Amino acid sequence: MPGFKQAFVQPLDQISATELDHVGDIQWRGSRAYKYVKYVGQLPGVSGDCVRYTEGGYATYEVDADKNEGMAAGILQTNCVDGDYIWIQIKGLASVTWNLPGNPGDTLGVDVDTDGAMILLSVVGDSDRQVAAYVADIISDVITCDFPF
Amino acid sequence: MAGFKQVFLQALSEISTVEKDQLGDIRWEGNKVYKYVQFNDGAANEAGVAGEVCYYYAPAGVGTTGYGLSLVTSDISDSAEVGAGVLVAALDNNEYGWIQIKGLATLTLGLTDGVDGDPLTPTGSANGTIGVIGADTEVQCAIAFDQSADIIICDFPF
Repeated sequence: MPGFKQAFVQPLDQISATELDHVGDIQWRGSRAYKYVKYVGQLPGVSGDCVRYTEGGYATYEVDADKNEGMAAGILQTNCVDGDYIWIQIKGLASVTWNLPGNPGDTLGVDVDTDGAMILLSVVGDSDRQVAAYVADIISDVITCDFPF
Repeated sequence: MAGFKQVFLQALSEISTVEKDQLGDIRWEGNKVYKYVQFNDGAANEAGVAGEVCYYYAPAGVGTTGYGLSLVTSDISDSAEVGAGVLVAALDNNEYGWIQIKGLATLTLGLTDGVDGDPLTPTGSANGTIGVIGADTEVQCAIAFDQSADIIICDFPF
């Protein structure tokens, strides 16, 4: 049946060793959207860090903060470790842990240099790279998330 | 009334010559999102094929009227190279149907360039297809998920 799931079991800032909601679930809170995923990284995840989909992970809803993984997935809402089920933020304003460079409106993506952070796409000069977020406030380190649903 | 429409008259794969739902309706099915549109075959009389990419209609490539009218075409020369979605059914001129705008989709016309993770655009592509972005001014509308299997992550505009 089409439509939105309205009731969720796991709070946004909690981790779970079991799948309390369904991976892939989308949860809206005002103009912010969150996605339910599984963290599969050997590197511990830190709340406010950017995570990426593992290879093929978009289809299986598996993410990791490792810089060697694939495309940007979202922003962690809680600290987590391998095997945890969590929510990541994919749309709307989000506070991040790293020092944001650039200016409001600049495009952000990921590269293979830094775990858990995003880079200014203008710096790498790469127009064929996924735009996953925009700089919102460099003083408070706030981004506008635009990760894929 | 505010909120999301939950009940739809036209099935996702159905083709209709009349407007059964409202043009522009958005429909969520899990992680996939669909939009209700009307099809125009353009100056090239290019019929819509299920699994092919369509674009917002802009006669001779000028303007953005197609977005406001929820009017799409597979004739890229009659578009401003703004991707609309992936056709769920084979639509002929003036028919109504659903296109997929978010989530995983398999294309019937293959991705001919790029690698997994590359952003995709209609610019420079043949009718019904998309390819890797080449410049900042090109409109990104999808990401290559599995290039060799022609699977994309749709990220077309709502």
